Amino acid sequence: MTLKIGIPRALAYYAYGELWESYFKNLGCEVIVSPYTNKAIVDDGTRETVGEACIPIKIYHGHVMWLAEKVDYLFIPRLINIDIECKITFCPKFLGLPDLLKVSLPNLPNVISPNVALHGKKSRLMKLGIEIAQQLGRGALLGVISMYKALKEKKLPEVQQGKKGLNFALVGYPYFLHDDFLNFKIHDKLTAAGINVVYSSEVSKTQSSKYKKNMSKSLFWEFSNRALLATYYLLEDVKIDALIHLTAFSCGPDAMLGKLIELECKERGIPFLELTIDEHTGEAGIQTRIEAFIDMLALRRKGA
Amino acid sequence: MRIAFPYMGNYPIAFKMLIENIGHCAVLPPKPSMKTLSLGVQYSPEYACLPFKILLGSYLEAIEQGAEMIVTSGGSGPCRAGYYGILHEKILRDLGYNIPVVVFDSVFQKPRDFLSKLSAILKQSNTSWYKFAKVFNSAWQKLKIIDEIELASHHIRPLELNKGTVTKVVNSWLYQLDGTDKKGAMQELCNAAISELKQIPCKEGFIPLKIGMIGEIYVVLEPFVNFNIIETLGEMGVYVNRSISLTGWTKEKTFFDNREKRLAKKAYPYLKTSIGGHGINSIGEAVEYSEHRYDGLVHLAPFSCIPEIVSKGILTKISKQLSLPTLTVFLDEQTGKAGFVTRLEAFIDLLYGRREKGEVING
Repeated sequence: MTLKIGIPRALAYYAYGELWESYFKNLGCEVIVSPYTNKAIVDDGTRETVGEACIPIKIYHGHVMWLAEKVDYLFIPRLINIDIECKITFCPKFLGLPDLLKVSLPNLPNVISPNVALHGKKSRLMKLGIEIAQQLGRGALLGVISMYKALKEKKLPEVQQGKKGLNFALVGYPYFLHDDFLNFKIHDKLTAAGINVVYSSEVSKTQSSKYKKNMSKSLFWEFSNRALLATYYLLEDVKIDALIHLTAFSCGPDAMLGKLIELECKERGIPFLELTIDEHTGEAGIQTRIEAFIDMLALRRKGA
Repeated sequence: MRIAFPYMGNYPIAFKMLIENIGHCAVLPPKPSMKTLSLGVQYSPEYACLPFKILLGSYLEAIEQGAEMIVTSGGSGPCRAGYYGILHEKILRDLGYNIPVVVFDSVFQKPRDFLSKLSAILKQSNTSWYKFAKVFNSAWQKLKIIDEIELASHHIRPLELNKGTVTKVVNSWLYQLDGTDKKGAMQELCNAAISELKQIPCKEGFIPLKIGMIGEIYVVLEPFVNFNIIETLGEMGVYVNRSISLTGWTKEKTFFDNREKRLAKKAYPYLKTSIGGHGINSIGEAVEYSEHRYDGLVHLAPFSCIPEIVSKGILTKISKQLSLPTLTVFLDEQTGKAGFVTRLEAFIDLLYGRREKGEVING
C-alpha cells in the first residue's frame, strides 16, 4: 500500500520543499502538500498556537491541521543546522516546533520528525535519507538513492539581474517572500508600477559568500544569515534602487536583521521600507505604504 | 580608560571592583529607570527584547557620564543576546558615538578571541595576567556573596514581622560590600550579613506559599524590569525561589556543570532539544519545582523572547499534567506596575484557595 506523506506548505517548505517532495516520491510514497495558505488555515492555526508566536508559526499549525486527517505520516523535520558553521542554527521556534505541535495539536497521526543537523556535509544528508526510509519500513539503499536523485533534480535558483529602470529588492525569509497570503502579492503591485523586483531568497550562497568578511560574527539563524549576505550582494553587485524588508510582527531574529539591513541601506543612501505583517494586517494598508514609498522615491529622483 | 558595562541586579558592584582593580576607571551607569528605558526604546528596533532596549539606554547614560569603552558578554545563539553587543555598537555609531563595544564570547568556544580582547585591555593599564587572575578571583567571590545574601533574604522576607526589615538589612550590607575588596573581609561580611538576617524577628508557625520563578535571565534578575517581584511577593508572605543567579549561569556557560544536563533530561519528555537562552532550563525547572511540591510558578520573559515563547507553549501542557499553576507574564516597555501586581495578587489568592481546599500538600 502506498504510504501518504503530508508536507505542510509553510516555513522551510519554501526553501527545501522541492527536495523533500522528490525524495519521498523517489521512495515510492504519495506526497500530499497542503494547499496555498488561505484564511481558513490561518484562522485554525491562530486559534491553536501559543498567542505570542509569530504568524508563520501559526500558519504552520494551520497547515498541519489541514493535513492531519488526510495522511498516514506527517513530515515535520526538526531543523537544527544546515551550514558548515555549526553555530548557525535556526530560530528557536523551528528548533522546538515538533514539541510545540505536540502540545497544541495532541491528536496528530504518525509524525516523522528527524533531527536535521547537516554541518554542510552531503554525507549527513544521505544518512538522513536512510534514517527516514527505515522509519517508513523501506531499505537503506533505497533511502540513499532517493535522496541522491532528489539532490540531483534540485533546480538552482536564477537571480534576476538588475534590469533597466527601477530595481527593488524584496528581502525576507523564503516563507514570507513566496507565500502570497503573507506577502500580499507585493511583487505584482511593484511590477504593475513598472518596477523590476529581485528576491533575496534567489541569491545563491556562492554569489553572496564573499560578503562574509563584512560580518564580525555570523547571525545565528540560517535564513537571517542568508538574507543579510544576500542584502550585501543586492546592494553592491545588483545595485538596487530601494529595498523592502518583509517581516512578521514580533519576529525575534528580524529585530536584529531588520536594523542591520536598515543601517547598511542608510550608509549607502538606499531608501528602505520595513513592512510588518501579522494576522490582522489589511491589504489596503500595505497598498498605501507601497504607493507612498514609490511616490517618495520618484520625488527624490526628480530632485536629485 | 573609562569602561562601562551592562547593569543587572546588584552585580554591578563586583564588576566595578574588577575594572578598578585592573587599573581602569569604572563608569557605573545609573540604576535602570524610566529615563533609561525611554532612551533605549527610542533607538532600538521595535521588536528587540526588553534587555536589549534597557542596555542601550544604559550605555547612552554611561556615555553621558564619559564612558570610552563598553564591555559585555556575548553568546553563540540562538538567543539574540549573543548579538546584542555588535548591534549596540552599530546603533551607537549611527548616533555619532564611536565607542567600542567589546564583546566577550565564551572563553572555551573562542579562546583566542577572548584572550586577545582581554590582553588589549590589560596592556592599556599595564596589568599583569597574574594580577588579573587575583582580581578576577576576588570579583567572582563578591558575585557569589551577593547571590548568597540575596538568596538568604528570599527565605526570610516572607516570615518577617515588620515589613521592609529584610530589605533594609540587605541594602545596608550590600552597601558595605561595595566598599570591601579583600577576600577575608568580604567573607566575614557575608557571615555577618547572614547572621543578622537570621536574627530578624519572624512570625511564628507561618508556612509561606512556595513559588518557583523561571524564565529569561535578565528579566528574572533585574528588579526595575520585574517591578521588584521578589520583594513584592516576599512582603505578601510568599517565598520565591529564583531558579537563576549570575554565578549559576556563568558556571553553566563556562564550566562543566551537571545542572544543565540534569534539567535537559527532566525536560526531555516535553522538549527534545535545546532552544537557546533559558528555554529548556525553564521546562526542566518547572518539572523540578513540581517534584519539590511547589505551590505555583511565575514565568517571566521579555515580549518577543523567542525561546520563552516556545517554553510558554509547552508549559501549558506541563502545568496541566503536573497540576502546577503557572502564571506567564511577557514584559515590555508598556507593561504597567499596577496591572502586573494585580495579576500577581490574583494568582496568590488562587494558590491560597487551592491550599485551603487541600488540593496541594505543602511543607
